[in-house]
Amino acid sequence: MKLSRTTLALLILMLFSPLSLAHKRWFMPTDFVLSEPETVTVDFTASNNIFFVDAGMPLAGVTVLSPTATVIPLLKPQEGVRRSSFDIQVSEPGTYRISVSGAPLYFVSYKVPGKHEAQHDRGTLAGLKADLPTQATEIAFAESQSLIETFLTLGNTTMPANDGDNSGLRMALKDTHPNALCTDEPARFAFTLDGKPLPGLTVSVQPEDSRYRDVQGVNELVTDNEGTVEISWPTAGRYLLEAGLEQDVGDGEIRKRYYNYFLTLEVLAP
Amino acid sequence: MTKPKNLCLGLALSLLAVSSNAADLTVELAIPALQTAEYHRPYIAVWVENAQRQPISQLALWLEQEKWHRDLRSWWRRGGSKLALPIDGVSGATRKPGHYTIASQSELPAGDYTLNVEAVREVGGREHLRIPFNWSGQGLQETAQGQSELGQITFTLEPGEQP
Repeated sequence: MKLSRTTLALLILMLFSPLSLAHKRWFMPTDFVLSEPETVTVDFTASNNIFFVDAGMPLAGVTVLSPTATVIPLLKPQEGVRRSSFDIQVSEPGTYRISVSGAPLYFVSYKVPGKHEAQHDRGTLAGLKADLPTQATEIAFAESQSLIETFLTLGNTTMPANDGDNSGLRMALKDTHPNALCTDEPARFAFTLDGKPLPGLTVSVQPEDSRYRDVQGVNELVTDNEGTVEISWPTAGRYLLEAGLEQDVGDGEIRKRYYNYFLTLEVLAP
Repeated sequence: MTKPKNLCLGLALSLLAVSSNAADLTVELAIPALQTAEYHRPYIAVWVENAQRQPISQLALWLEQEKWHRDLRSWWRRGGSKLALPIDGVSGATRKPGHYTIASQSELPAGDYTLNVEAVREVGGREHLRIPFNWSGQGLQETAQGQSELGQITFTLEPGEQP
């Protein structure tokens, strides 16, 4: 098959555009709300099929913070083919934060003499630099940072602890607690980039069980001037909230930054 | 002097053509261009089933990874799972948005049938269009309009050439 130059360029762009082709990644705890201390099992997977597990994610870097910012150990960790999972002992009243951000992933594009098309690779920044051919020109690096999280609460909801890092794309809890969502009232969440409110961000919200309907059912919202969105919940159930951002960052070593954010939520019927 | 003979031959041929089962099927289908953050080409199955909903002819199977074949769930349930793929002249890679024409010649006994066109897209939707038709040797044309994953489908059936 002979591809036109435009098609080929488009294909390469699609293959290497981390925003558009990254799989959805999510945590799924057995419970979001507890009234008694219990063990909660949490699945961690990469899957576009909401919420059916597909590809197990590495557990290294997964952090569970108790309501008082204690790091809770992951018990019985298992990294399976279709899902990874672990148990946590939920004993302290309040809201727990389960999250992973991990090391950034880097992409590079460059040209070499004799080849018309740009070359691409991905890996760590140091690894990509080491692998660059000596004749490479027009070298451009891109950095991709993801944050995947969810919350669960024993007893009364509290403001979840954080590790003090506000870099990248994050949700800043404002008016609505993520473990007190109900179909009879909209939620308001705020988003920040490096700690600053982020207007104009597209946030998409998808209810579970897309396998059993003909549409994805994604609701897309855009943050206002304060970086907040108001979300209505058409049905009770679990939802995946997702946001992504692509930023040009000038002519330095890193030309582009990609951010991805995934949050699993549960909405109850009134 | 040869005229009456030719006339007889012509008559015999046309009678033969009418009673024949041979049918030329043409399906014109449109894959709409969609504005979406993450676009993957749809998996598409086009097949004909009889009045008992048994598949009698696979016209087009534009698929990629085997893992997702089952997501064409009607096709998979109605015989897709039993097929040995690929099928020559039927199987192919997924197509980009545009207009496509699928032509096929079939032995089709007179009766009631349904043309099925099913499309499913990763991180997208699914749509299944059904065009019921009766084949009695007469040419016919039917259309159906897709709403999400498919555009317009035009189905044309013509009496086929004698083998």
